[in-house]
Amino acid sequence: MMARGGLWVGLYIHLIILPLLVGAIWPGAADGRLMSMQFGVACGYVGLTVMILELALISKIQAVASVFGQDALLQFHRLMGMSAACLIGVHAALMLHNGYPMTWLNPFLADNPWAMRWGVLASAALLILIGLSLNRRALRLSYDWWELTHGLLADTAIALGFAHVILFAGFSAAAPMRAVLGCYACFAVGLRAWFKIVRPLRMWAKPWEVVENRPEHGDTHTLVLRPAGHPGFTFEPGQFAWLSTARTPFHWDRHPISMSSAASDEGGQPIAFTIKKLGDWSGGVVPSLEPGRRVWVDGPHGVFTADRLQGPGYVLIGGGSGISPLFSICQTLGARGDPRPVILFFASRKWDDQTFRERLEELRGKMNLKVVHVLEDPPVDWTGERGYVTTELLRRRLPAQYRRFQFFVCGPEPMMDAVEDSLRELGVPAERIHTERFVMV
Amino acid sequence: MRRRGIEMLAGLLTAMFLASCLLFALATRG
Repeated sequence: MMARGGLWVGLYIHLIILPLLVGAIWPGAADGRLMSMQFGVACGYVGLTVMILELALISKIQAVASVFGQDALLQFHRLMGMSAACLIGVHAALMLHNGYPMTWLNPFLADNPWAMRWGVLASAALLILIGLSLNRRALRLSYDWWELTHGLLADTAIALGFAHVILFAGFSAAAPMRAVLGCYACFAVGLRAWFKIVRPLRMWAKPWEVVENRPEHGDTHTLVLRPAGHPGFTFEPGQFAWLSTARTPFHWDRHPISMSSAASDEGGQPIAFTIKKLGDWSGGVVPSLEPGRRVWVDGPHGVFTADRLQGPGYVLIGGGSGISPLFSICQTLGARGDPRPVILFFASRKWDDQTFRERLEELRGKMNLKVVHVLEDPPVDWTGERGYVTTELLRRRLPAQYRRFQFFVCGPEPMMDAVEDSLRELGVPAERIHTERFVMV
Repeated sequence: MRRRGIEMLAGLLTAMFLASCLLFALATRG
C-alpha cells in the first residue's frame, strides 16, 4: 500500500513539473529573460497544472482512492487549491514587478491583450472559488449551490488559464509545449466527462429505492435503500457512498454519507444510511423522502474500514453523525460473532442526541462491546462521563493493552483534532489511528 | 497522524514546486 502511495505521489509531482522540463528544453519565444520573470512564469505554469490535477483528486478514481481514501484526497485537494492560488499570486506579482502595466489587471479594457484578459479572469475565478469555499457558512451559501458554483468556477479558471498560456505564446510558442498543454487539456476534459457523464450514466442504470425512512435520536434520519432491478453492492463496515436524491444522477447535488447498517457478503441487500440534520438537504429533503422514491447511490468508497485494518481489538471514538460508520462496524462485528473487544466512546451534547443508543444497548448483549457515553450537557441525574473525550478520560477508560488496538475516529473536526492529539499523547502509534473527515466547506 | 501527514505532504510539495520554479528560472534566464 505504501509503495503504491509513493508511486501515485511520484506521478503527481512529475505531472505538475513536466511543463517546466519541456519549457527548459524548448523555451520557445521566452528564452533569456530576467530570472525573476522566468520564476514568475514557472509559478504560473505550476499553478495551472496543480489546478488541473485538482480535478483528478476529486474525480473518485478508484485506483487512487483505494490507496489514500477519498477523504484524504479531498483534504489534499483543499490544501493544494490554496497552494495553486498562492503560486498564481506570485506569478501575477512578479509579472507586475517586471514591468507589466497595472492596467492589464482590468479584463474589461478593450485595449488590453486577450491573453491578459483571460489570465486575469482565470485568477479572479480561482479567488472567488477559494473565497466561497472558505466562507461558505458565513456567506450562508447552501452546500448544493456551493457545489454548483465550485464546479463552474473551477472549469472556468482552468479553461481561461489554458487560453491565457496559449495566447501569450511565450514558452507555449514552442511546439513541444503546445503538445504537452494539449495533452493536459484532453486530460482535464476527460476527467470532467468521466465525472459528469460516465459515472452518472452508470448510476442511472442502477437506481435505488427508499424502503424506509425513520427518524432517530439527535435530529437524524435513517434511510433504508434497496437496489431496484440490479444486485446493488457489498461494502466493508465504515465505508461511505455518495447519495443523490435529485431527479437524475446528472444533478450536481450529491452527499457523502456513511453506511450505518451491517456489512454483508451478499449483494442485493438493503443498505441503511443515517443522515444528521445539518443543512437544507439533510434537514429538508431527507426527512420528506417517502418509501418508493428513486435515489442514486455511488459507492462504496473509503478506506476507513475495520475489514482492512485488523487488530486484536477496536477502539471507536465518535461524535454526532460520526457514529454512523462506527455503528456499522459494531453491527458487522456483532453479526459475524467476532469475539474481539470493541470499546465505543460516543460523545454528544445531550442524552437525546445519542443516535442508536437503544440498539447499541442491544448489541452489548450480543458481542464484546463496551459503550462509554460522553455528554457535554448531561441530565441532572447523569452518573456517566461528562464534557469531552479528553486524554484523561481515554487513559481512565481504555484497557491495558490498548496500544495494539486499531483506533477509528469520526466526528466534528475540532473533536477529531483533539482526539488525534490525545491518542498520540497516550502512545498510540500513528498507523493505528484512522480518521474520516468530511466537513470540507 | 493522517491530518498532519496530509498537511505536511501538501507543504512539502508546494516547497518542492517552488524549488523547481527556481531551477527553471536559473536554467532559462538571460
